[in-house]
Amino acid sequence: MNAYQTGLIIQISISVMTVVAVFAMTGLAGMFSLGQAAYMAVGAYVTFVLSKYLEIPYTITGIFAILLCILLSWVIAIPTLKLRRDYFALITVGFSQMIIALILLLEDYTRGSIGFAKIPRIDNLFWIALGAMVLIIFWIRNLKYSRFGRMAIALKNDEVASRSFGIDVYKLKIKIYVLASAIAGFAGIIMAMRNRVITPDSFGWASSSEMQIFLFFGGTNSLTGAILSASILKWLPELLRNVTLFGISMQEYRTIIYSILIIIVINFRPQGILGEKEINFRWVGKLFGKLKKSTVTKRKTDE
Amino acid sequence: MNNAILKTQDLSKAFGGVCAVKDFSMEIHTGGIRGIIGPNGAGKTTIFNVLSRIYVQDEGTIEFDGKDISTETQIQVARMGLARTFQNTRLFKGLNVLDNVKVALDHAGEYSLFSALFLLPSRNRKEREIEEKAMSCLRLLNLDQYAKASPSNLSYGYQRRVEIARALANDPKVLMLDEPAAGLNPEETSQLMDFIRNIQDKYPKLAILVIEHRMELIMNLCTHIYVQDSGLTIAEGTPSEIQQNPRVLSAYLGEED
Amino acid sequence: MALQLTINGISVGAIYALIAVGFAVVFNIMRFSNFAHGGMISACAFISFFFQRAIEPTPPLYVTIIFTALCGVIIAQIINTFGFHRIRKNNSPKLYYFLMSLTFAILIEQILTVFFGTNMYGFPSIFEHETFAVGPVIFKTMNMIILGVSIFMLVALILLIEKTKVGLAIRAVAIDSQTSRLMGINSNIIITTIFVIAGVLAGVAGVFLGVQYGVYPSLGPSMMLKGFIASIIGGLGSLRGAIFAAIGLGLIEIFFTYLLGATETTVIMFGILLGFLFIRPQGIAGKFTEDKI
Repeated sequence: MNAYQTGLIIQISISVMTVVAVFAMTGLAGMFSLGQAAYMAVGAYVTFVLSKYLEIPYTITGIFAILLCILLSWVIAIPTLKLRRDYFALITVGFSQMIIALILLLEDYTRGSIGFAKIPRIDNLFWIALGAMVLIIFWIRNLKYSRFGRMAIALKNDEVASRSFGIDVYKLKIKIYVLASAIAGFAGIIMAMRNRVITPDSFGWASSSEMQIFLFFGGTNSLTGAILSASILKWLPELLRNVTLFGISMQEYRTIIYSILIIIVINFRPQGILGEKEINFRWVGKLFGKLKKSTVTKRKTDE
Repeated sequence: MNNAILKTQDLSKAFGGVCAVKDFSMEIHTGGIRGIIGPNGAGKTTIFNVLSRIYVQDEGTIEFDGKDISTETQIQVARMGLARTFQNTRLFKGLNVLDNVKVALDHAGEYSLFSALFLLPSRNRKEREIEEKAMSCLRLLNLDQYAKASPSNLSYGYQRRVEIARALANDPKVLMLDEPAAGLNPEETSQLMDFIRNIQDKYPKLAILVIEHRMELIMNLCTHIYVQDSGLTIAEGTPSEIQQNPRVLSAYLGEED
Repeated sequence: MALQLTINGISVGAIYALIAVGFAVVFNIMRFSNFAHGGMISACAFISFFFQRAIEPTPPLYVTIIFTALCGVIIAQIINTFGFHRIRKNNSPKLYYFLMSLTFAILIEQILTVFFGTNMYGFPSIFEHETFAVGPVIFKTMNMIILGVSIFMLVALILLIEKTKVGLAIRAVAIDSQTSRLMGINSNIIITTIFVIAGVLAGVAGVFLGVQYGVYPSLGPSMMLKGFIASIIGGLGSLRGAIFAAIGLGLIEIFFTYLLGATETTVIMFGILLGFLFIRPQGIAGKFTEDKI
């Protein structure tokens, strides 16, 4: 496998990690946030800027960065998760802008809009990214099938009814939001390690929106939908790299294409491509069962 | 004589100058079943919402299981054993029937987020317990064959029953039913009445408070009825007393079946 | 100096007020935050720029404003038809309105970026006399025009909403769309009207922002955020609150920028927003911060 392919797979893992975290936050608990990329920024910048200036290994500053994401998300969550959903979403946009403004403000250390470069090369990043992705999928899958997942789906549906069953809606939302943000922070670190340079504009609300769009495309209630969506929609632009329209590579159009796809999906299939369904072994088995039945019937009518 | 498990004195609640409930007093005993009737807009659901602490009362006291709950939150009171259903069935989409029932047990599930994420043995053990408890609740009420069904695929009558079963999953002390027969045809209503009688059998200590418009349900099931009109209690008593009360008749004549 | 800053602050605030109100109008009726408003503003800014450049001789400002406002209306209707109409028909959850508006915002910004790049286009000078003096105070002509037009439009809008039959219908639909329909108010017409209003406001804001700050794709969204902040501080759902808060915000921004610098000011502004949310999330006059039971 060459460097281009490993780089692509790492990029896809980052996408899957973040979208799966967004699945926990939005798909399970119904919180719509456009600030996930901001946590990626915190993860990336804090890890490598501190590592450089304090001369501490990035493994230590990395852990600190994730703890910082946890603290930050917790502080943000406390006043804002009591508010209406789109209000909360717009606040996360504001938070996102603020982080970027902060990065620009501290440009003596972060190099501002030029970007922070010379991030060290990490060996085996491929396996780290892939391993982390699998672990995160494992966690979120377990979350969905645990009592926390059930309570989250309940509160997403109906907070008042959930409370009538003794569910502490507020506390659970905070827990899941903090978890999702910590995952985003970690993904940001991986992204920094892959790209070797980080610039503030890759962490704006548009990047966060991309994650939400991927989620809604695959189906808000489907974990496998989120995984497939995040992988395929990240991979597709690479395939179309060399195709051009009006002299501009298709890649530049990719956000436009995603947006149009999502507009179509929301209009005509609002539950997303997979909707509620999860692709798992039982589903595949059922599919084979149906195919088998139809071929058997056909053979019978042929006789 | 059974003790009053839930009682309220002079409960009042107004919304921006419009008085929804005024000076409402009632009590209900373990094993009893009482009803609240009244024309639309009489403030019946508001009573439920205040009792279950979705709203805070303006005046009055509420005592549940011997404890003053006037300042408790909805979550706290639910955990103390006050269960309710809603006028429009609020089963959770995205969860099948069994999961809907499990959700009622989940707040007390007793395993941490960490065990959940890592599939630790404590999580596996507790999940089995939750599943057993939820299944036995469904079995008790003859709903276990629908365990894996999606709520939207059930008929309205069955959805109602599942919602009631869910409310009973955690062995509550009081069950408040808000118009359980709304939208049901006469046959389904009669099945619902059998269902409620079955519940009284299987849960002998349970106190039930019902809001209803369907007279046959209220008159045949409840031992004591409160009649509300425009926020005030215009009468209370046994079914036969209520049926002969002239004020009730005038407030109600020409209304429901 | 202070007076100078105050004048500048008020005119900056006036633009924010246009944005905040355009945002608040949609919020009042449809109960969601229309993120696409920012995209409309950017698009209108570009339209006004090319309109001015394309026509010889350069048209007077009021013509550009009117033309851009019309374009704003068209864009708003396109978004309404392709974005929100079916969501209403399908009765999809309210969140989808927001998601759709977000998607359109991204779509517009990306289209502008792909075809025009992220560079700023500057308006050529519009007036013969860029500034005029009254005593020791120097007024920029553009600021005065912005102030004048904004005040005029906002007053007209408030009169429309509070004093006319159409405004009454709008308020009825805002309170209860089902009952309004039963009473003969056609909610589709009302919603179309709302988007016409939003479109006009976006168009005018686009022209003014373009002239003041230059034309670039993320112009609208970044300014819209400030309008949104003003809406929150003023209280979502209150037009007057949004206007006052917007002007206040403009003043704060100008003073802080003078005292501290632009980047610091941005951080402070968001800090103020977040701080406000900690203390008084419903804003000064608002009532809609919690999801309905």
